[in-house]
Amino acid sequence: MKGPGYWWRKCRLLFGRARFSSELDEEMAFHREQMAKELQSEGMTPGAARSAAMRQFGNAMRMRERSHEVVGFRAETVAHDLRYGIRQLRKSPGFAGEFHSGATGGGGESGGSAENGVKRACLTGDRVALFDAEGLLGVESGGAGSGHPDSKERNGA
Amino acid sequence: MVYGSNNMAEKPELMPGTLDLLILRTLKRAPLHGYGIAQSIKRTSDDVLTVEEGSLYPALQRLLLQGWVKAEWKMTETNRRARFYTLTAAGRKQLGIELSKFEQMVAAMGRVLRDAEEAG
Repeated sequence: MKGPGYWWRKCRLLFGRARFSSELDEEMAFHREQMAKELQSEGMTPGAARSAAMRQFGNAMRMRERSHEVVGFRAETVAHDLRYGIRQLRKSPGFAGEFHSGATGGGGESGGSAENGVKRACLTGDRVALFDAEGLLGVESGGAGSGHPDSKERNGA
Repeated sequence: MVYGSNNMAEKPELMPGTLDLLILRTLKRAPLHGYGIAQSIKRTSDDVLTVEEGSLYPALQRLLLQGWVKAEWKMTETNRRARFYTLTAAGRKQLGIELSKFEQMVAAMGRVLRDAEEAG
């Protein structure tokens, strides 16, 4: 059984996919640079060292995909994980938190909204408020397992 | 995955979970970035173990998600921004569990191998 800490980190990641991807890219670029520096220090020319580091590092795209798989960024699992994660967090008494989907606009595998246009989710105790770009989508409250973010209705819009 | 340093055909695949154990153990000494972790494992094992980057970064994401490590962007000695990983209290506890499981497995394997040797 995974605790609220796990689901909190998971939801933060799912809402911050764009940031996660750019940080991973920066991290992998740093790794390749360090490999190239090491090869240069062993006598390679800068160009040859860069090429060798790229080869040694392997397929960056595949690597990114594998990291995304670990945190559950595949399209078919994001909505399910978010719903489940938020439900688990609502079970935690006194839990409060907030997720943002980041600055990027819609669409794409690694950017955009977390689920059905949801840009922000605020959790306080057993209540969750969902916001899209225009404002409040709805508030859910009550015990664990009573509905999920999909069942919201727009509030006054 | 972690491999031995012999030629490709002879590289032994270690059991699942070994990489997590090696990363946690490496971070027990000091916070490190991904490249530093890979280098440290390679150096400490006298070049016997090489961590593939394709396994290292997904493993780090897994450890972050579990809350066993935390990550922070810092400047390196050469003034370059890098993501440093630090062992958390939960990670320290997990390291103890993983180590104990690993030692039990090695001891059990040792008993089976000795028994096979005696029988042969």
